[in-house]
Amino acid sequence: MYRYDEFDETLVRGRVEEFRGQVARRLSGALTEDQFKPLRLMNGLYLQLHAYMLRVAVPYGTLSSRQMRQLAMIARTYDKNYGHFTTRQNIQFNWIELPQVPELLGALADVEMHCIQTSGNCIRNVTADPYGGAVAGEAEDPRLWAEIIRQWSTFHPEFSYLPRKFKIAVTGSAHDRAAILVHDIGVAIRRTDEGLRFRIYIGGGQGRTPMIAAQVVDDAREDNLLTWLEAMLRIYNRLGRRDNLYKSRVKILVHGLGAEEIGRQIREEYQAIKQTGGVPLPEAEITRIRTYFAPPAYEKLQDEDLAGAMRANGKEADYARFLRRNTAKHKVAGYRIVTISLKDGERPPGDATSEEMEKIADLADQYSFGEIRVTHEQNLVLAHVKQKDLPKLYHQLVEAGLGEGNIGLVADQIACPGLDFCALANTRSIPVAQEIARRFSEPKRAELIGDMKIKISGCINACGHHHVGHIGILGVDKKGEEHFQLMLGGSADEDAALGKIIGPSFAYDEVVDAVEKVIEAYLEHRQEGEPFLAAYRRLGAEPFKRALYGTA
Amino acid sequence: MALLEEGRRVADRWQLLEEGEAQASPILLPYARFVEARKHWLALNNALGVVFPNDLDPSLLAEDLERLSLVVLQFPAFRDGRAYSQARLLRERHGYRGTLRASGDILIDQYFFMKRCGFDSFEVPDDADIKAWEEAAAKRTTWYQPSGGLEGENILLARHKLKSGRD
Repeated sequence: MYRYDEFDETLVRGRVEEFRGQVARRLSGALTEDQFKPLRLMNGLYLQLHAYMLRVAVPYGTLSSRQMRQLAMIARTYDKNYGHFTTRQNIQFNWIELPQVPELLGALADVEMHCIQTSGNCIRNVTADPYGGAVAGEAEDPRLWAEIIRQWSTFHPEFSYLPRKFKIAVTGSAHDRAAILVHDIGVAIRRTDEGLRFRIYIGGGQGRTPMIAAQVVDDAREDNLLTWLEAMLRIYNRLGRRDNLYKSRVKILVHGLGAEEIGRQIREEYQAIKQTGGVPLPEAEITRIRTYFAPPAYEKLQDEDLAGAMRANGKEADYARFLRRNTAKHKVAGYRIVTISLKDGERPPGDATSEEMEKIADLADQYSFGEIRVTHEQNLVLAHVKQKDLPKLYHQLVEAGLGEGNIGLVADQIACPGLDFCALANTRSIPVAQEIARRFSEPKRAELIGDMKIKISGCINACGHHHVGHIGILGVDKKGEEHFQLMLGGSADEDAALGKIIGPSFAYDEVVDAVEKVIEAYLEHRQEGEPFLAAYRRLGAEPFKRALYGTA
Repeated sequence: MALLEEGRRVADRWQLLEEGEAQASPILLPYARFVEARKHWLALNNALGVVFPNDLDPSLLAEDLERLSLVVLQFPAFRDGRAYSQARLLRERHGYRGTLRASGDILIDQYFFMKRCGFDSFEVPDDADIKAWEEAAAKRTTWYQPSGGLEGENILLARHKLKSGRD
């Protein structure tokens, strides 16, 4: 993974020291809250319902075990012994007190971590496929390009006061595990005979007005990537709306101008920047960053008979399910990609305690070259596990309470913090997710249902990604009561689609029953082996409407 | 409002020309007024300055930049960052070499970004601690992106010991 050189170190340390100074001045009263707000807004420090929330940047979701241990220490020392992994591959702490922030930032800086640009109207964490560098068929590890984009976007003097926040995601595989089509800019990397080529999209997003991104360029070259991004950000900075908070994301600009017109303007700006030399990205720098993403020291191994192990019953049934659901094919023989589920119906989705973080750090050291990835679905990945180590790893996970074999199943939901934490929420979301997980906790039934992505947002800001859930749940305020709208058929991968509202909303004590009715209707009408999304697309909304509302 | 240039508080020799006022040098005009009688203003011997709105394309000034000694760009609210792009375009695309002034709601934390975008004149609050402003900018010794003005300390170039990023 990327390691700071002395330049990165100087830059980040300097900025961290500066923010520490600003926090100290706020504490002493030298700065009022009004003066402090713009400063903390660029440094991931939010004032929430109960306390400050601090969002720590985890570039493209990649953590070393050393960093994970430090996050565990921070959770123990400065929070209530847990942290929350987010849908942008970051981690946040919800119970921070301002006087502790300077020390906390110092502890982060000690392990090359910071909170820079995790909030504010600037370019946020660049996210990438959590299987990057491990999965077969990849054009290139997208995380190396996420690192290049990260450096270009950090303290960019022109793009630090955009109309609104800006989110970029990168995939290197045809199957998109980074949800690039619902990002402000999405980058898809492929390999051609002439080398790497980038397809770049603009204007995806969720929130109040969800949109799928439009393609701007299909075959950008490596050395031109940053020039394309600069052109896009400049158009947005100049033309994005600043009069209306709810219409200020780039997706609104793209929708307003139309994909063709914004493509034309971007291409024109791109050509103009190229004429004065373009944004430099020397081959030497690409090569330098590539070395940080070189493959780890794999052993020469054979594949085990995982297919056989996956069919096991009796005592080995849970392990077999773990293999089926939580592991994926690695590009190197004898290895496997493992996902650790942070969804068990007890914990809020995406939360881990300090002890769990430390355990996962140990497991990463033991089994995966000391590296962990955070996924945008709020789980953790050990990307390079030897197949012969899988049984041992599994048993250690079970012992630590982290052994749920439910990745991609109904319990593996995305949920926003919701009314329990967030001042913007209309409804709770965590308890709904927990109840759904409990309702479907019987493992055989969960696997019978199969691939099911439920995504829950407590308000229209869609931090739980409800627009792109197979079943999306949106919390609304109905005459002062918590109500939930259901939408079906959303998808965040390369086949992206926005879910459609199925009908009138449900009360808090009805919504989980409603979800169950949708799932039962699916089970009733599906063809052999047909996943939910395919069944919904084939059947349409009618059978589900009937199940929910009884209308013919 | 105080004027910060080259690290010091300086007197402002420019004043917006009022309607009907005699045309003493130097002349500072809002863009709308400038463009209304462009040929007339350009033909004068006076030093010319334009206050340019932040929602217009700076290429509108391109042809006249050689004749302008001052361009004032606007930050109506500190969050409104459109003038950063205008500044870079004026300097890097259109080759403007006169004084480029930042006006409006400007925070000490933005001073460094503005300098890197090519501003060299800043309207700061009357009670601004100029020394603190200079120190805040001076602390930023290194940066990732090349941009108008402060080429020398760019990380990319320093890392690879390049003269320009095109190598």
